[in-house]
Amino acid sequence: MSSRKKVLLKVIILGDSGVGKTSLMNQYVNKKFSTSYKATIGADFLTKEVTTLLATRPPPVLTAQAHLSFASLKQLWDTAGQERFQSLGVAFYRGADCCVLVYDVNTPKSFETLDSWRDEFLIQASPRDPESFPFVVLGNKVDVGDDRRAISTKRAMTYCQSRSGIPYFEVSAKDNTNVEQAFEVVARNALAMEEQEEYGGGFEDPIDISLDNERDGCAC
Amino acid sequence: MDRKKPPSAFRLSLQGLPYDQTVPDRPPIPITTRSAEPTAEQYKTYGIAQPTYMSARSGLDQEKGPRCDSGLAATSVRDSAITVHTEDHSAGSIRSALSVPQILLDNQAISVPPPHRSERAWLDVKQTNSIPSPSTTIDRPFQGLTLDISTGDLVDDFQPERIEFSKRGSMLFGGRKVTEPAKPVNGLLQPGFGSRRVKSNPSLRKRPAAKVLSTDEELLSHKVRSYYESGTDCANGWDQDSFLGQQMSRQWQDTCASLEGTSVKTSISDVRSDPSTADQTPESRRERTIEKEELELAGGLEYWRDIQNGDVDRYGFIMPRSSTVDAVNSGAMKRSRSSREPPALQRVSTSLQLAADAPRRKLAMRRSPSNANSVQSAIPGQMSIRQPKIRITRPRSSQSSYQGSLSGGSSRLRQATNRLPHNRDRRFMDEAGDMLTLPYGLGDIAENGESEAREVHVRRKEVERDEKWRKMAKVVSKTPDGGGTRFEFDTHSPKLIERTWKGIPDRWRATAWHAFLSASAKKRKESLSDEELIAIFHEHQSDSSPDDVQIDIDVPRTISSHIMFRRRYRGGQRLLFRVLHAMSLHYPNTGYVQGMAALAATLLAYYDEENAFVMLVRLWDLRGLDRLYMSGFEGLMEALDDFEKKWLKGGEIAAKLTELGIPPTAYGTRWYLTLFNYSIPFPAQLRVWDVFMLLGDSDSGSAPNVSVQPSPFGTTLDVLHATSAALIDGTRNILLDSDFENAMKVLTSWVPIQDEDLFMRVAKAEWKMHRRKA
Repeated sequence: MSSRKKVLLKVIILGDSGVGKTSLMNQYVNKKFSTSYKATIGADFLTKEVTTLLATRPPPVLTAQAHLSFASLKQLWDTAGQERFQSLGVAFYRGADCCVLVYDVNTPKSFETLDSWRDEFLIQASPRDPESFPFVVLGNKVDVGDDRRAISTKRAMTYCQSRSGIPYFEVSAKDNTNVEQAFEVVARNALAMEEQEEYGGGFEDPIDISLDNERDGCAC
Repeated sequence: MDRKKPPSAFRLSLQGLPYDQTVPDRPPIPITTRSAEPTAEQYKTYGIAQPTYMSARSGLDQEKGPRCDSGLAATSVRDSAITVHTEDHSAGSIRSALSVPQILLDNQAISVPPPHRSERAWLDVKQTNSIPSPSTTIDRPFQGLTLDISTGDLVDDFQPERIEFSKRGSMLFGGRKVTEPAKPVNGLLQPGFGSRRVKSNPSLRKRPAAKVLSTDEELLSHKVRSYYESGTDCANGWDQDSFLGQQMSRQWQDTCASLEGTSVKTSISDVRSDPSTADQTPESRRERTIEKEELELAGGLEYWRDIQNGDVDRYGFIMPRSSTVDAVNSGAMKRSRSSREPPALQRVSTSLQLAADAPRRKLAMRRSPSNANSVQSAIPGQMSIRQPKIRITRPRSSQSSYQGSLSGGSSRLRQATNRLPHNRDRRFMDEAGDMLTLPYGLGDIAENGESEAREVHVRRKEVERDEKWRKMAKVVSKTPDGGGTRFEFDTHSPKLIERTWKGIPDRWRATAWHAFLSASAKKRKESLSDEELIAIFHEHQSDSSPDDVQIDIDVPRTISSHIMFRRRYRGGQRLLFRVLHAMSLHYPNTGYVQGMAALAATLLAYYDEENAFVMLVRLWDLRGLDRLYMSGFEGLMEALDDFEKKWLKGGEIAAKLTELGIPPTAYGTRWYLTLFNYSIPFPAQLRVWDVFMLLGDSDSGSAPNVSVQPSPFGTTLDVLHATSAALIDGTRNILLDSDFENAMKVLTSWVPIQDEDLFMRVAKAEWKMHRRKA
């Protein structure tokens, strides 16, 4: 581990109020779930060290690179869900390597606002290449049950496909369903992004990665 | 006006558009007014072919048969084309969503206020809107008319691949779960159904003109408020598209019907003219609709159903039971410790936790210079356990410009001179890190079983202080019926200020806070009296707020560990909702903003709903919170800028944070917006509030030279700045050794302050130092 170069990945988590951004982040980082996290004010910050990131499942695009076994420290920025806190977002969004969009599969509105979160992020973070910036969409609270479910898997997949193939996962922060897998893809795509930035975009189109991920993405 | 659109065009307008086309081709129509259900006459007027189901339905209305939907019953009486509403708006909004064709207008002048709002009431609305919100689009020219026809058969038309989305503000298929085939007609009551909310400029994200709600918002607001009125979301899952939809909507309508019976009708028109009914109406309505449970009338006894007396601290927070230490110790220890323990949900940075867990007497050993250099490399994220113990030789105030590393010798000299009386403040700041640990001796007591004696001592002390405060308080008025006594304090008295820094005895806290804010209010002519504000509070309860849904999301998660706030839609949650609802309407340009809930919940621990509202309004008007919460957070930015430039600047912490690239916006937002409710234990938060309530008045007499460095806030926020500085002092040793990640984690963490006396002494020292600088 000492020989590995440390890479910092900055991941922003966005989505409507109450969809479970804080819960997801804490489930992923601390392996804990609580039903009563307070509303996030401003932004919250957690880190997670991901060491075996590339060793387990190297995405094809990156295999050619020499530094496969990077340990990477993932910074996770949890944000406030209420719209008007977005004016504070600029400071947090900049330099992000991946953006996680979360919605609640039982709340239609939270799905419908995904686009506005995505647009807002692209405006404020102004990444060099907005078209290829990696997003991951997470449909949270799948544990609640089918009778209350409002957004079907198909609909969400259709949406993600239409946005140049954003990887999509259905997760439950409560049951820890798919959380690890989802964030692994987040980390991988973020790393790809970071690499791309570092080498001035000499990489292949990251859409390849996304498509690849989509296959192992949603098996639900 | 584009009234002559043939119906087929409407159908076309419902087709999905590819995402790319939505922006250039269809500029968002700026505003959605309260949409009204067009009557048959309106259809004629507009030359629109009336949908067939509509005439069928009005026929149904005339039958006047037994119907579950009371809201529809009156539709047939309407006879004029424009002033169609003869009922109160609650029924109106339900009906319009149920029934369907919706006209969205972007020109406010076209929207006709429902006549049930008396002329005066409408004027009121207009007056309160006198400050135009920046995104208000009232004066934009009319750009189009969208009819949104929702019929049963539409459901069949939807194909998943035809669903398209555009940016927020031009949603084409908002809110509907149209893909679900088995949707009952009553599913129309779903949230999000009804009019599409259209905004003029999605990127601005400002509020639409206050109190002009879309049907959607109106409907949702009614739904949410009915939950809190009845104390339950009786139609559990009402908002879900479940197969129970039909039944549930009937339940909902029943609730509405019973609401409608008398109270709502009177409340809309009469309440405004007669304040006395305003006080009674909500009460009587509640009596009617809430299903009382056993014990519910016994003053909150039901809160205690599964809780024992000893499990709750003096402030009402339920203590975590797991700790074996607590079980062994007697009540005093429990009480002194419990509220200091971070609530289970608070994220505490590892470094802070380690510092807090280290007993203070061991910190004394840090003085050995031999230790000072022993720990060189801090692995980020894995702070050595020893670090907090060793690094105390650092300086000092967050404002101190003292630089450079200290040798053991000079720090010992500094420590020695700190003991001189005139260096007392410096000593507090030097030892600020100790605020994270229990005060001297308290750890010993826990082990030696001296807690009984300690408890007696603490109690005696508190009685003494109660007495001192009683002597300072001046009785202003007594209500004859035992309604309570009002007190006043001489807010300029140095003795009072001194004692407030030491903490207001809890028994006096509510009285003193109220008196402090009232004293500020009296100085300003425009301030409303308690009675006026309380009347406003009750008036707001019958209006809809666009923020009700957001408030409803936040209410249950605001203060869930407090005994009063555990029951969904009841008790404290209901009060919290009502207070926030009123706040969102009282400050329409700000509306409800997350963070307000934490403030309201703290106040509800000391006041009833009416006075909690009064206190909040005064905090807003007299303590600068209106500015802090201002839309776009410009005020907050100014405050954080002040903190950085006038409090931190020049200190080594400022240098460190600049080096790491951490601006105050990254950590200060929650400190200021929640007045530290999110970041420090409740007892410490109360101590900060004690001083803020007293000294937060911008023309406070204790301010020697206010006008030296003009800031939009004046000296109002000085107490908050001093508290922030104290928090940074308390964590400085950790911060100075941190990399970006760890510093961020510490700064956004819950700070487990155990010695709030020391914490406040540091804050006071910072405050005094700033005054001297200014």
